[in-house]
Amino acid sequence: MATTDVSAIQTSSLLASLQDFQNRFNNDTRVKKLIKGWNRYLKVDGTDTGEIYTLTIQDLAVNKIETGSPVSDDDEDLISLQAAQEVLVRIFTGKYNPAHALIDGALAVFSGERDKVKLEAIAMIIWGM
Amino acid sequence: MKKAFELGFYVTFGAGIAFGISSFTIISELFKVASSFWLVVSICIAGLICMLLSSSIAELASMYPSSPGVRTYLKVALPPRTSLFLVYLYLMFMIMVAGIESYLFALVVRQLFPQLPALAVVLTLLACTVVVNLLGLELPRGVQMFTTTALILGVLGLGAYGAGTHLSELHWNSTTIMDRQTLGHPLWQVLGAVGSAVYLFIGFEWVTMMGFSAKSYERKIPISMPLAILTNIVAYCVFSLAMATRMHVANITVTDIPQISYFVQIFGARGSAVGLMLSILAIVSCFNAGVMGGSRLIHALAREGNFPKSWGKISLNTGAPIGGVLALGGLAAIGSVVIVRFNLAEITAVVGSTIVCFVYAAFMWAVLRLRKAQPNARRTFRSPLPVWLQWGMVGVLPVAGIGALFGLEGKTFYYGLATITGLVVISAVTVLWSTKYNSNAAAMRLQAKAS
Repeated sequence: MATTDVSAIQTSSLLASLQDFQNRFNNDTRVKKLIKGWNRYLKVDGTDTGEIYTLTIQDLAVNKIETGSPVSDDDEDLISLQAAQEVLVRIFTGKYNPAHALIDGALAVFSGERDKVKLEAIAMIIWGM
Repeated sequence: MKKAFELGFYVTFGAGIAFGISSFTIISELFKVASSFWLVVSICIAGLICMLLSSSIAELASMYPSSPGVRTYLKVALPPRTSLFLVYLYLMFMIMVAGIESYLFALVVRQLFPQLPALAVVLTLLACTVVVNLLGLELPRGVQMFTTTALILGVLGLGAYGAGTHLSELHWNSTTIMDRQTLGHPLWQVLGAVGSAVYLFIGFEWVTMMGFSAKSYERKIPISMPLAILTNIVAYCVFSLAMATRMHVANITVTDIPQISYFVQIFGARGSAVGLMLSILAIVSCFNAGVMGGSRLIHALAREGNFPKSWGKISLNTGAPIGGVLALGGLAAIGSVVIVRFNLAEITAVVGSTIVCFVYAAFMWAVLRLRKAQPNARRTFRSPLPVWLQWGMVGVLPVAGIGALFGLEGKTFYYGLATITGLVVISAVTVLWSTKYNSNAAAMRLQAKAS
């Protein structure tokens, strides 16, 4: 009974949406101000397709996007996002507010509380949500 | 080693958030309605109810891991207005707890520094907590574990030390246990006490937002909640018995901070300092996490459009939810002023218990509704409770909550009734306002698109 519609999805792969996110992220000066000293691995896990990608955020930029997860699940710098692929694509293309997705139960985020808010703040800056 | 740390963190987080200074106020309240024997029985029954409840919450958490618990579980399972109404009641409960805890902390501080005005201490504590949260500072997991462990061990140790050789003072025998003259029939004693005793465990469910990974929701989090509750059952029972052996019941019930009288009884004047140290540990483990959790809930509700947009504001420097923190801090300050002005700590704690009994019943109801509505949804943990027992608890919890209200004596009962009626009305009005506000916003967005 999630309230936000996630069915009408444009044709777009998860990787393409992550690359689009990378471009927006790296070209936004306000994001750089927000993530000073914030180095993290962002693991994006499509629960229905099994596709996993990891974004490395280091030195104020998303430096790489790798297939799979190069870091252990116990790593303290790892933020893990799990959702159906459609939901993830919508989130990384700015069509679904991650905060709403979390409240709707459509997205799971495993990280410290501050990291959750930080991700939301990034979405807010990039897409003005 | 890491697995043990993870489980230890969950247990201490759940136990610590439930163990506040107001827990002692509730114990004092319990002594008014039940004898020491039935008080211990009531604490155990309330703990058992919460343990059973925790398995249902664990099932919800396994379906929606890491989500903002109370909001998500009720939103996905119940009709929109009902869920919003219960969430608002829960939020008001959190605001009241922030007010009670800061007020009680001020009372403890004033035992050592009587010249300090209570309101100034209350507002200073709230201001410090708000500033810490605005700066985006987070309590490290290790510190959270340390403070809770020190608090529980301190309570257990000081309880056992005080009770020591005085256990015979309890005078437990068939005559005193079944005595109906002083406090009424034992059944009524338990009924009046169980609802209030639920307050002693409130907050254990917040651990469901803290899972390290999806796997944590399969076993560790489901196990951690009953362990946290069990830890607190032992601590509360030992301390209650210790107070019963060393103090006259009238001296326990006359104050909102009976732990201080107990420590003074054992250590003399230095007892107040011991009480202050324990209170600081309780504030660190319960109060700060509570304020942070409450501000996140306000933030989430604001981002959904249920509260003013400014309450969902995030600091773009630290990523802290400054709108939620300031809103909660402001509301808690108003709550504290009212509590200090009218000395309402006891009533608000009991009213809080009543509210949470209803919200907990709604959690059980949510599990049952989701099993029907989404039978094939992914559940990495399933509550082993039989369905009839879950339905039974949906009925029992509200009765226990109302029973807690009836435990209030004389005029305070009417004040309690007025308070809860007021809160229900405020919640209902806020739901209507939110619904209107949301639809206006949606309409405005459509208009903007069209233009």
